[in-house]
Amino acid sequence: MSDVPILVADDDSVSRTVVAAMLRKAGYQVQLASDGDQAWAALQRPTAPSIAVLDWMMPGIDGPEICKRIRQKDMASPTYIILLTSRDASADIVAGLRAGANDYVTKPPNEDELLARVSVGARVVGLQHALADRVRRLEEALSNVKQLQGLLPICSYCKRIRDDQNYWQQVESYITVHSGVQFSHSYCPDCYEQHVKPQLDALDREIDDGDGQTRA
Amino acid sequence: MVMAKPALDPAVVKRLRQLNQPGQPDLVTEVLVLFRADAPARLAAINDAVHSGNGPALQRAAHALKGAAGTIGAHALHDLCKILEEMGKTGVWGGASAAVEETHREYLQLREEIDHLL
Repeated sequence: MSDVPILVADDDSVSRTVVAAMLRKAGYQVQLASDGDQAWAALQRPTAPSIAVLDWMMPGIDGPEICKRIRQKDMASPTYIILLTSRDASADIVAGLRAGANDYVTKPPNEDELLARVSVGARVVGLQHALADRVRRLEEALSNVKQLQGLLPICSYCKRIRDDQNYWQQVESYITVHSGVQFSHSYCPDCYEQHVKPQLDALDREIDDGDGQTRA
Repeated sequence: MVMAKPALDPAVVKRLRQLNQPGQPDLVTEVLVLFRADAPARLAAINDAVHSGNGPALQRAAHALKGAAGTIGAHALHDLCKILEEMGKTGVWGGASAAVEETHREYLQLREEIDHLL
């Protein structure tokens, strides 16, 4: 839990300080923003926190507007957004959820409620990360399969295959690299007759000759 | 003699104190200092908005003070700000001046209690 970073954005320094203290006590890493513009900038960074607790009414970009902008972005793991709203503003809550917030907490926040809602967020973020990771690995696997579906330049004589770096590879090493296949070497009946049997016969003859020499 | 209800709820102060962490500055002190620093400008903004009849400005200023007051457990100030915020929102000004006066009185009592704590 402690490695989950959370952005807390509120223009009221009192509320911001208390919310941050509640989250820090529970072991979260907290980043602070004192208005909507700062919050939006923090969420643009590559190391942006996956969970954001945003005040509804802030100078600059307000909470719902940040929700809308985040939801318009194509993100593998979208930010989990919790809005801070007044206790009796049900119209605000509906508007906030419609704008794309995942949840809301009324102000002044109750510590237990805030932490319970944030931990739901942490769970969702964890699932999203696991899912995004799985999708990435599947895409990698799929791109390998696609490489095998394409047109392969193969030498008509030695049957080696030319790879993307213009190297000629043995069929088996090419396929081993571009798929999950591993080869176990053996021989077919035709090749036994054509290659293996003559070699075995030659070996027999050598042994016979060798015997002849020792006998001589 | 009946003691006046405290402007600052001791239960909220106690809860805030429980958020203190070893090696960190006292949260109650930090938060009350922030509140004391911000409140006068917000009260002035409320005054100005009522005197100039600026509804949206009253709504904003009262909303800001309301949030901070609620967080430190200044319930009466919070409720007064809520009334003022509603006046700013609806544009119904009846009793606005009286509410502002009441807000100032409440703040003075709160300020005394905060000074006593710090």
